[in-house]
Amino acid sequence: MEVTIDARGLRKRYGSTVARDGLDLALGPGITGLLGPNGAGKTTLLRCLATTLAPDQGEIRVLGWDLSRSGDRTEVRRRLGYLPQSPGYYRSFTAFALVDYVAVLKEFTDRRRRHAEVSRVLAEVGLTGQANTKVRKLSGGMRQRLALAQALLGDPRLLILDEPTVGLDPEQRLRFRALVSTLGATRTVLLSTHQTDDVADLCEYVVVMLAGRVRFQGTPAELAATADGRVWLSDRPPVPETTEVFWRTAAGRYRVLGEPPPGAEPAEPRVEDGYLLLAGQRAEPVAAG
Amino acid sequence: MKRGSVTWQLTLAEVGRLGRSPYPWAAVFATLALLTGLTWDQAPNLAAAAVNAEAATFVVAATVMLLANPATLRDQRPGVPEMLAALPSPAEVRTRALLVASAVLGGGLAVLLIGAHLLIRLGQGPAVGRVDGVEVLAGVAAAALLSVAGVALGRWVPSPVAAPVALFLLGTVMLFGAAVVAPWHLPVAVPYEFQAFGRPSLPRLAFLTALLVLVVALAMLRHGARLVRVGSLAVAAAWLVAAGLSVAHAAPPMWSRVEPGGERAGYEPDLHCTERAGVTYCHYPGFDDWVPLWERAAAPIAANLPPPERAGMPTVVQQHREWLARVVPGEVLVGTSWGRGEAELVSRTRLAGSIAAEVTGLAADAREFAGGVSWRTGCDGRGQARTVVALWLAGQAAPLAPATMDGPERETSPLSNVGYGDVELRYAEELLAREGTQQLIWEHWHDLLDPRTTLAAAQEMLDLPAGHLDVESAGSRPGGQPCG
Repeated sequence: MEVTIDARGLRKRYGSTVARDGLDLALGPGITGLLGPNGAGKTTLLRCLATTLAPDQGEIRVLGWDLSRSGDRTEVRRRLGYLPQSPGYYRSFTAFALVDYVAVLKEFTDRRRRHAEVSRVLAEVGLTGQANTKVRKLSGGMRQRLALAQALLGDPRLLILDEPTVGLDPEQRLRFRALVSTLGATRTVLLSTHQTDDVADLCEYVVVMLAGRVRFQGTPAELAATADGRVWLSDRPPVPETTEVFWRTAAGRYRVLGEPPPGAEPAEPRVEDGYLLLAGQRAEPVAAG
Repeated sequence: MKRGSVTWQLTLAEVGRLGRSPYPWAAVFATLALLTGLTWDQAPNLAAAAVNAEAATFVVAATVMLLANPATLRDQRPGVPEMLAALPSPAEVRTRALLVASAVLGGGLAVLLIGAHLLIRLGQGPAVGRVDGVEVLAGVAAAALLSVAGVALGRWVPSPVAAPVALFLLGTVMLFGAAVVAPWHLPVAVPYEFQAFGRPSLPRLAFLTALLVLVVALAMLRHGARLVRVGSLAVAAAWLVAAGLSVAHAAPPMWSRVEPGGERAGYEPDLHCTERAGVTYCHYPGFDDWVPLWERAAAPIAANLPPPERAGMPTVVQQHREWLARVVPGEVLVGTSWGRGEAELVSRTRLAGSIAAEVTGLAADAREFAGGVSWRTGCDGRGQARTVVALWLAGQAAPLAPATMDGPERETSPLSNVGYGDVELRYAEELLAREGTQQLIWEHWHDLLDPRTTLAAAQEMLDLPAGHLDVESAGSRPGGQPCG
């Protein structure tokens, strides 16, 4: 497998989050989902990979470039599309002007080519009709798509998307999935999300981070498989002390993760189950495959 | 190469964005309208127009500064630094583009304002005075300086109140200190009315340029202390000190051009003198076209003097800030402004009144010699025959008006600070309206000009009606000591 992101012994103290033992991560082309609860260090990791934050220790190579070198970081930035968790906007700019501004900073110096590219990415995210609308007049979902549009400028080889579906309605999420799945066919896409169904539907690979450490790396199916034999359906609620997680489904039955309650029958595990069980346990990292 | 192209494209974008704001344009048009309004009744003096428009560019530059500052601050909005940090063009490129864009816009609008004002003035009749190109360049540099200061402030003090507070402080310093102590070191020009000649234009341009480079270097220094930036800063600082000292050395005294010995200050340009119809006019270089205007005031008086007395016609001497100027016997001062349209009559009345007061000896009595210098202190010319003669002479050139001599309005007396009442005015009007007056006055010339000759005596000499002597001097309260 071609390795596009290679992080070794990564250590970064960022606020209260510390990657204690050093973090190792190797990713190749395709779509990788990054799962983890709030405060797990996902955003810190993405910032380090997106060159906006320098690690305290460790080595990162992205697309073959060494991020400890200033010149290499610039080369990576030329090939990177980054959607931060809380993107900033110039509220007085129009949607077109904002993306155009970013395009200049992405070194699109030919005005005609740049405008064509801006129009293309706005069309990609379905904002052609809002191109001349001021950012302050756009809805939250539209702004999120605008931020995504700037990340798509220049057809980057690496896309880092930090919670890209926040604020999107179901239809927009579907469009987003279609777009990212197309992009992921030819480039590396790393997306952080709380949406396990996005991971299940989109990602070829999944990384689970817990408390600043990588706890799982593998395919979504492998993550789901970690819950094999620990997912149950029951007609009665379980005893809470014996169970990791349970909830009542729309059909009126209880989906139980962990020890089976009396009379429960096994259920098909999903990515969500594997993630929840990982997040709930205090085990050592699980290596897939 | 690529970074240079990005800077260029970004500069174009920023110039467009800043230029699309209506505020700087509104500032240009409002300032232009104000300048035009204030000078509408003044004959065009291009030297004054250039300098005063240069001073007015402060308003436009301040507007650009208030625009450039938030344009810089937009990089600091929540989420933006994170987004921008992942782009190949670093923050210094954005700073550089904003510095160039704001300097271009501020400087460009300053050129527009000065140019438009000069064009308007050129269209208002024969223009005098010479435009000092260096002075104009200093105005452009000052405007660019204030504009880039908005960017530098945005980089070092990332707060939306920083630029307004800085402008407020600058305004306060200008109003309550620096305008007196170091007016030439401010980024706003000293108005022409305060200093028309001997302005330290070149050293000031060097000083403002050094300050501009210094502010630019400071703004760039925010992105790291690289050798070029630190070097530029050091060179600009040294240049600033040298230019600042040079400005201080070259700056003329601001508030008085009267020197202890009573001599005219050396920074005044040489006067060019010309004689027309027996009257000598001395004017500053470039003011030739105003001599015919002054002649309209002086020539009718000269023509109505008894021929042997015409040699005593005072020389009309142009003096900047003539209200502060040393008064020399035998000279009548005229300033660097002259009325236009209806206001021309006001200027003509003042000059004619001054000449009439000089030839009748009233002006000499209205002067006080102290400390080697003559000052116009004013005197009360009521009840004297020569006051009527002076008014009659002045009335040959311009309409007469009552003297308003109270308090601060002393100087509005058309007779060079000599007070007169309604009786003198009525007699003068009577004489002006009558045929054959000139011959009658010439016959009694020496008697009439004797300070001891009363109105009653003049009434008999000039065959004037006695009734006017009973007229109350309503509305006119001449002040000062009696003349003579």
